[in-house]
Amino acid sequence: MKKLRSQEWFGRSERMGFIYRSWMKNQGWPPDLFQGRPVIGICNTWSELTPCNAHFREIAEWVKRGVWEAGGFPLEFPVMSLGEVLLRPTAMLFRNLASMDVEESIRGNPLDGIVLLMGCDKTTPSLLMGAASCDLPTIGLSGGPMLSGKFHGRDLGSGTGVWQMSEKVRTGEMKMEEFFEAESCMHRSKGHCMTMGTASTMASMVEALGMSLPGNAAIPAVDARRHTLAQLTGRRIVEMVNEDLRMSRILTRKAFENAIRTNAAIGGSTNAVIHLIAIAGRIGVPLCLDDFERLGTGLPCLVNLQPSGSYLMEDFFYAGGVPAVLRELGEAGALDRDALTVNGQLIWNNVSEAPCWNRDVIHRFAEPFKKDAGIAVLRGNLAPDGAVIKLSAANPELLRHRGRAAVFESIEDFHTRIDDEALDIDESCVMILKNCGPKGYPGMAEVGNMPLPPKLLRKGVKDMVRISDARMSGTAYGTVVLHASPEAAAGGPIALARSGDMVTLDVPGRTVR
Amino acid sequence: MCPGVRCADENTLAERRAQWKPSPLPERGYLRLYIKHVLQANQGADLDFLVGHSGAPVARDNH
Repeated sequence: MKKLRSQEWFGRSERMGFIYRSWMKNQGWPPDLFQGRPVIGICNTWSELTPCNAHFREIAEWVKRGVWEAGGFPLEFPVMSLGEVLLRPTAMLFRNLASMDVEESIRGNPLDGIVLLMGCDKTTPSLLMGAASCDLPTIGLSGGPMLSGKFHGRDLGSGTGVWQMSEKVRTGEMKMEEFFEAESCMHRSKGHCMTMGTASTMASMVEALGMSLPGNAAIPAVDARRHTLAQLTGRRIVEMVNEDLRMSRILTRKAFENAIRTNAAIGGSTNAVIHLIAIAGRIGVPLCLDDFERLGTGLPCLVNLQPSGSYLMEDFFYAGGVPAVLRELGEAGALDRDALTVNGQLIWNNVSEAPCWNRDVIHRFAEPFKKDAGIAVLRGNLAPDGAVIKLSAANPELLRHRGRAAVFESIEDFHTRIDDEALDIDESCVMILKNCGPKGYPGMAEVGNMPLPPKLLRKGVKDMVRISDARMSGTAYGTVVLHASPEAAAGGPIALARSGDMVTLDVPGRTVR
Repeated sequence: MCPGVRCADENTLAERRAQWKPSPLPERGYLRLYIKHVLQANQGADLDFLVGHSGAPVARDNH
């Protein structure tokens, strides 16, 4: 067997061997642990400032059980943790910084294999990106979604419920006291957003890429089987080191194609587009916007989860989770069955007999929840390098629309003017928001799903065409065109739009101008 | 069509483009690095110098 990388530190006999081992022994490790056991780094995004990952020290303990059982030596280490809800101006600003932390922490330390503990939105791509740039044997483990929110006897979904309720508060349909009460009802257990927002989307991407054991995405954080999965993940990474099963053998072009198709089938977040392209860039797989158009947009949405539908991740787990979706895709010829996964099996071997227990939550490919879902890529003189729209969360009646632009130069400009009853805007207008892209915000904040003007909400308007160089939360919905590239701050033509210009959105024709 | 509508023809756009100025870079810190190097959304918004991989070679000893 190949010499372990960690032995370049621990397997030495001279002064440097002493140094590399002796200080480690202050933690009480017996000498034999340094004599050729695979050293497994548990890359932890635990932080009390990242509430969705606040239970990760506990999950790490279960991973360690598995690593010990399989004869490895687990060492848990922290990396920059990006919490979506507290970090300003946006966690996305720091995704690449966190990825550098991950990459250098892995490369500089005596590690043979890596377990990535991921939960809140950016903690998934930042860890995958950093680890991909090192390409050691690596396995992903997500922290799991929260239990379903429950409010006044009904389900209340992370994020999605906020957008819905805040519009009701603005129109006077909901009292402030009720809105406040809902805070503790929406988020009542450990875990990340339990809608098909970006956290659940990226956990599903991890599974569809083959980077985790089957079932990773949907097991609730508090379900005992999340701990079981953690322990099995710990066992498996030791075997992966012994097999030298590196990340580059998993993250192939096939794997990314499967992830793109899966994102369409689950009604996943638009953020997955940016993150998958970035991860592919690290591992060296060519991937571009047109791949999303080519692979994703002909596909149906099978999963009836908020924000595209009505159920939540807990229901998705009970219904069969991502394996049941992959089976549907595979049976319909929309899955590359030969993609290798971290358990050493081809993806089809993992999912070909996956059961589905609730067809209202996970629909059959032949009787989909929504036809023609996926993420459409638009081009035109507002976005020559592309913009995206999530079809499953958009209003079909607005997909062909021509209207007068109501332009906002920044999100502050938007907030200052949107509640003004005298604002020159009606429901046929197209709202355009500038200077919220990567350079402009900076960090490309999730502000693209602009709230509607109160005077139109009162008229019963539920959706309007909105266009920006921003992102939007994976929990959000509406006829929202995002990621217009190049962005305004880079001199993109969206910078030149003025109120009163006529804007045409033609999603079937894939243009925005 | 609503009153006051004007279409942005090529001449108008060229005029507007001539008026457009980029914002100055922040003086220091991570923001400066980020804004200088971040790729556009359609390219994954990674920093340009982070794209790709360099394996995990063992670096030289630290003492």
